[in-house]
Amino acid sequence: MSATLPNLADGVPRPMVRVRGLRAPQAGPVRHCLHCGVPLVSETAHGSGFCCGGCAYVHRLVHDRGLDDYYKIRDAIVAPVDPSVFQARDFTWLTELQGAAEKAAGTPDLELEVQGISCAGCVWLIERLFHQQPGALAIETDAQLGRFRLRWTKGEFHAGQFAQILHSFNYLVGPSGEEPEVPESRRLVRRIGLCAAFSMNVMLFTLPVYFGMTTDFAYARLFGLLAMAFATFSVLSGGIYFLNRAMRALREGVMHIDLPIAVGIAGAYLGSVYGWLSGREQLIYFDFVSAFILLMLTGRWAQIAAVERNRHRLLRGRVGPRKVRIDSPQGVIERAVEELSVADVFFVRPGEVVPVEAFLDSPNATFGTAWIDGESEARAFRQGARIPAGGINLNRTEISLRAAQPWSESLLRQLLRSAQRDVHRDARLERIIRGYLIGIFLVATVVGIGWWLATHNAARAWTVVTSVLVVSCPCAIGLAFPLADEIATLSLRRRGIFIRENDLWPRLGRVRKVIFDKTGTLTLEHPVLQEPELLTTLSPEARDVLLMLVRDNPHPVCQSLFGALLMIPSISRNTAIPGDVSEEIGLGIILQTDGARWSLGRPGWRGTKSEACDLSYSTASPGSDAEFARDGVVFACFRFSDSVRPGAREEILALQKRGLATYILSGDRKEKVVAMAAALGIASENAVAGATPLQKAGWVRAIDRHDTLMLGDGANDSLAFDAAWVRGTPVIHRGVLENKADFYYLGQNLAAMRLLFEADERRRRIQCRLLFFSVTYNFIAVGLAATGRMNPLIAAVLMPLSSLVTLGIVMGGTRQSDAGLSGAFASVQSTVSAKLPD
Amino acid sequence: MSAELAGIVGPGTALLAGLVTSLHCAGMCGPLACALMPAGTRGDADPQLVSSVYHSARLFSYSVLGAVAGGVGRLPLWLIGESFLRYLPWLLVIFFIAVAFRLDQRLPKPLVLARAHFWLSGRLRGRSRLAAAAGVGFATPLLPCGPLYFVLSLAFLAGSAVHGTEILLAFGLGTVPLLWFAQHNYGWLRLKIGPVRLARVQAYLALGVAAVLIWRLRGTLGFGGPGVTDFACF
Repeated sequence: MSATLPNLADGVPRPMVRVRGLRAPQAGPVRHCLHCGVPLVSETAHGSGFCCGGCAYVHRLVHDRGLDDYYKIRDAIVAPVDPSVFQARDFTWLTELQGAAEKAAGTPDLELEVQGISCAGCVWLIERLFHQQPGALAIETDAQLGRFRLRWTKGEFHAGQFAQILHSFNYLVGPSGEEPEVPESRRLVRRIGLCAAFSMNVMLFTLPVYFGMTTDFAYARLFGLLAMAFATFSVLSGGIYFLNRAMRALREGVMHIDLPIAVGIAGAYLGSVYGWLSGREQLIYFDFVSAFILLMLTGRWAQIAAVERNRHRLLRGRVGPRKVRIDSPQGVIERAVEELSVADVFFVRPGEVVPVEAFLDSPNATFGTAWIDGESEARAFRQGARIPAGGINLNRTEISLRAAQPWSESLLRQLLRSAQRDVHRDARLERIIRGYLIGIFLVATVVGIGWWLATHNAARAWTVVTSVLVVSCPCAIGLAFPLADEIATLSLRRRGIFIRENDLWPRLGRVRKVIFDKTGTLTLEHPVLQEPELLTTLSPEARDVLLMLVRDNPHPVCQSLFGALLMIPSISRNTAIPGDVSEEIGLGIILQTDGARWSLGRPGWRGTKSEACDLSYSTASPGSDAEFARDGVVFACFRFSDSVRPGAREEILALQKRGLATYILSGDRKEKVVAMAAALGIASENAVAGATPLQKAGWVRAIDRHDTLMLGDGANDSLAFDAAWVRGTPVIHRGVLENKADFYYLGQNLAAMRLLFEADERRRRIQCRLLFFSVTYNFIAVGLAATGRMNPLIAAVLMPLSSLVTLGIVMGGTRQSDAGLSGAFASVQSTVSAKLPD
Repeated sequence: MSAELAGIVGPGTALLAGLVTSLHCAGMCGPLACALMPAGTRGDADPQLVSSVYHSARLFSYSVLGAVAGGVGRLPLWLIGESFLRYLPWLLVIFFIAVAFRLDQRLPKPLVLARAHFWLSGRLRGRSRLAAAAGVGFATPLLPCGPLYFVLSLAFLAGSAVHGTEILLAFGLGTVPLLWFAQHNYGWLRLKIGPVRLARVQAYLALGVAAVLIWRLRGTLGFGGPGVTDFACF
């Protein structure tokens, strides 16, 4: 199967082929990541077969555990692995939960949330990993809600260890919290099931009429009554859903999509009941009523299910630090962060966040503050220095601090607070609904008056009016529009872009300004190793030592090296070399073995004592270079750069070509922000630097005319997020912005933005076609009804026919859209490949 | 059965009777039907499914009862003369007046049926909500219910099992919407509309329907006006 599609990169049409369910240009070999299945960008990736170190790492883990069947079960494309898999996570809370569960009588069990379930393959993998654990008894996974329930044998199973394993496979375990409500999509499925059964029964008792059953047949009246009974059940179990929502919308003065649906259901049902009571066969549309309700429910389910799945893919309510370990006369005790008082001494583990502004009690320490103030480099602090709230402990050891403020005054608390968001009203859809309702009621009134004047027969006039109301079908609005939304959502999901909010699409149509945060959004989360091939030149022993040094170290440089090392096929994560690992805070790390002293640290340090070096308060050494030495002899020097995401310039250019204004809004230093703006083709006046979280929010509020899209990743973007019209994030493991975002995306490049706008454009095109068809259909059907040529049999044929055509338009448009998105995606990849220095 | 009788003692009238007396049902069967419903949105049973099962079972039971009554009633109907049958529609007038003045409550209630119902309810306690809904639905005709006995007497006069089924099914169907609404909005209903107000609304409705019937049936007493076959609905 092939077709041609304009190539967005060079304008030359290329033949399209279907690859793993996605359509892509035939020209040029398309290679996919062996783990997540996304097309590979760079030559390095082509060489390794993986899009990133995370995927290489997880792929190897899957293979090592003999779970390769996962790749036969999983979807063609799954989300790329999050870089956070390299960071050790603290699951002491889970160990405590397990202890509490084991105190109860009987077989212990726990219900937990899990983030990252994408497909049936994920469920299979999680369950297999569970059953590989000692003492594991049973696991029940609810993929839709992102939860599982574990049962195990006391004393044999370690929940924390299992969570750590899942984390290394890119699934993040969290506490279950309150039992979630049954999702709306699941409740709709039940309604759909019931309505399908009722609809079939109505058909069963209506078909004899179409096949010639006369009214004097002994069972004719009973059949009619049964059809009415099942149609009533249909209205009560399914139609009431639309009627309730329409009533609510009317009370709030909103022209909601459910209004024409409710009018259709109520009109057809009441007209049919009247027809049944008065014995007028031509007014009885019970089969129409039940089939219409079924179709509308299906459309609604389609709209809700995809977004819900994306929402439940994330952990709920995991925002910020909850507990803190405080030094007290009774020893170290764990308290709620709200109970932390000024002057309390508390401890922060490696990778954990400092909840309040505090003074450093430990001698020296390094903290990352990128997500709180946009400063991309790690910062070294001396004893007594003031550490900002939100700083992340980047040391290998626990750090002690003295609180300078209570939690209530913490900037972090203010940033993490969730803001209520206004419900968006889709003005375009409201106009369509208003036009539809006015049009139909106007036509019905005119036709009724006309028939009465012409025939002076009120019953006849009422029959025609009823048939006009019944056959005017809002199928395009109720079924096809939601279906087009759902398919666009699914299409993006297959490319690692997840829509979280239903109202994103109408909001997106108004966006004219795109605002990027810098650190972690335009740049990658961690600095990138400039010469990764240097690692392959090291001896196997040196590579193993380096792995030992950087493993479990939250410092960005170590995380970057760790990821690059795991891209090398012969390296195993669990390599162990006998020796002691120690850290000279702010300088580097040392591995002392029997025969040698290995070090990784700042240039010139080479494993010497800290007294020999001068530590500055504000910044670490310039750049992020590090030396790897043995017994003071350097044999590898690594250079890192704060790397812009692949293809960022091309993506920003593409957005600008769409007429969107692009901005950088950062807390980082001005010279860095301006340099990055220039490199990315963003006007210098659109680059805002050195902004605090409050200033960021104020700036967004000042330029927002319900037309801003903010893309951010850190807590410092939280307030600006609240002020923006649309918000998205590329980072989902911090538990801050992902629960506020309208969409999130995974992967390293910025193609998501272009794909999002492409998908919206194509979705709108499909909707225009649907609207055209709907107007044509209604013109014909209402015309037939108005001239008195409509009867239940014609209506029974017309309605499914129109529904099938609208579905055909959606499906046809979707195929084109899918091909278009794949073309856009491939062109992005090829452009990026051409530009990237490998 | 005469055309007049068939016209007036048909499923349309039974449906109307069901709709009017559903106010009574909401007060009597309502608490029992509502007790079947899941407490919130976190339970495993779906409220729509519970309602559907309960009402389907109830309508099925009514239909069987109607078929039996209609079948058994053929013989006495055959024995009654045609001249007497023309006055039978007045039974409906009596029915609606009785409902309006709550006279149905004074009808003798067979204790054996009530006992059977309570026995069944006891057996269903602790079972799944769906099983309970089906059980209670099937057993609903066992509940001592004045309006049901009235409609059952109409089914006796229907002349055939099929017509008896139609009458009871239509009656049951008429009671469904309000009971369904009560099941899903019990708290709101109990708060906003008390049993006294429900009874009052039912009395006004029943009296209204009785007045319309009397006006329509005046021809059968020789006061002129339309015959029963001219009726649109009744």
